[in-house]
Amino acid sequence: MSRLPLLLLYLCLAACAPYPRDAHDSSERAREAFRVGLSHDPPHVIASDARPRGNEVELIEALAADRELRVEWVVGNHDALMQALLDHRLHLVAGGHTDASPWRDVSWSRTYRLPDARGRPANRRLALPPGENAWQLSVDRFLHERTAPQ
Amino acid sequence: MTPPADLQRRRVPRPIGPAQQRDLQRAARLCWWSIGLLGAVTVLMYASMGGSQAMLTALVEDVLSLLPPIAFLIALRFRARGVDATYIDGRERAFDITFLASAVALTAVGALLVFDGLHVLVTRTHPVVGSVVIGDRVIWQGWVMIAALAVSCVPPVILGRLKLKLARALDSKPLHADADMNKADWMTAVAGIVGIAGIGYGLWWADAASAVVIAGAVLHDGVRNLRNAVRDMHDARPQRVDRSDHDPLPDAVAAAVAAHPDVIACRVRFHEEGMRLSGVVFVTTRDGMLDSAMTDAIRDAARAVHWRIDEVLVMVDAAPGAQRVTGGDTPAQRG
Repeated sequence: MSRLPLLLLYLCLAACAPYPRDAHDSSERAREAFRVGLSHDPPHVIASDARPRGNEVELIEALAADRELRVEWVVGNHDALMQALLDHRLHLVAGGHTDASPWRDVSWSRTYRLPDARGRPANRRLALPPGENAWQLSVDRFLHERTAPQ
Repeated sequence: MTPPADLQRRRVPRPIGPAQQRDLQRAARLCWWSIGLLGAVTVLMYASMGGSQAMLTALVEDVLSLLPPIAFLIALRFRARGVDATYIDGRERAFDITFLASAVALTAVGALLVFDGLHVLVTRTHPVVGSVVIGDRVIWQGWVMIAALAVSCVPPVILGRLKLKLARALDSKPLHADADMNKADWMTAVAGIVGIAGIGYGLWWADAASAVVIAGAVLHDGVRNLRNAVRDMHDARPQRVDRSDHDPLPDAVAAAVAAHPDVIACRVRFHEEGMRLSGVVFVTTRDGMLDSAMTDAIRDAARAVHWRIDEVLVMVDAAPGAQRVTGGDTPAQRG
């Protein structure tokens, strides 16, 4: 019975740490290498060249610069990228995600708008690993500051 | 060809008193309030729900808690139509039928939710909780979900307490079960809050584990109500409204009838029909005879015991003392 107050005390101390937290330390691991999965989706992601280009790639580079992270691009087929994201081996997957994307179980960033091939704004999202609360909040805060109507 | 003469003798129900009529109306009003308030809570929870299994389960539990008040209102309307050429025994059992229906729904959904929660645990599906923008700040959606769950605690606690009082006054078992379910509502909300707080600590399994606990409570409620509904449908020995023990009324009726000067001994067999008790009074008279004046006197004595005593048939106990017992008493289902 005397353990209950101790447990509560422990929980209170634990509550002082940053909250909410990641289930699998994505924020921590991103400091070593910010692993971004890319699938070809012009004009947002152009993954056919040696160096990835496109307005979504620029957005991610801005995020990396803002958070002082070193980006490691992982170009691959979409199914493999999404599976790697579910397994927490990637921090983010970009390319081809509209706000009606049918993928389940992954988490989604806030919706933002980027000009498409005809220069009209298109609703876009980034796929994020599930259960990574602190990482999700970090990405969403960046997107909100960056793309919110001024 | 002329239709045959109607040989059906319809039951003449004993009207319920003005106090009970008033209590029934209050119960109906309370049910409407339940539907309104719990409906609003459900909408609020749906609007703030993220990918939390615990919150989904708590939401389904709240939707389910709309069933008993709806069932009560339907039963009340149906019952009010009373005796007619088809329903020659009246419609007092309407409450028992809707009670059975909601028990079946509760059991089925409870089992489904337990399975769903376990599936999430086994497949290691991580709960997805996004963010929301409030003002110009991006905050974790978990906070909004916790707030919604906390708000959802309030109406069921108040409604449950009010219903409990009425259920005791009316001896309405469905209303009592409804009050019990409202009491369970706030506990499921707390379990949901614990689950979401757990997600925030990076414990992905805390959410699904809470969901399984909530679903287990729903399933337990359902099975208990189902057993009680089956019991009522079998005209089993009447129970108190909280199912804690045998109803003392049949024994009280037997004692009241035995006080008649011409009655030597009396045994009874009563059953519940909704809120009322109906049944047979077996009497052993001094001269072994039973005329209509005495029958009326015995019925009036039985009905004078309590407003819940409805139809009373009086018979001569053919073989006093000789009763073949083939089984013991099935103990009353408690709590």
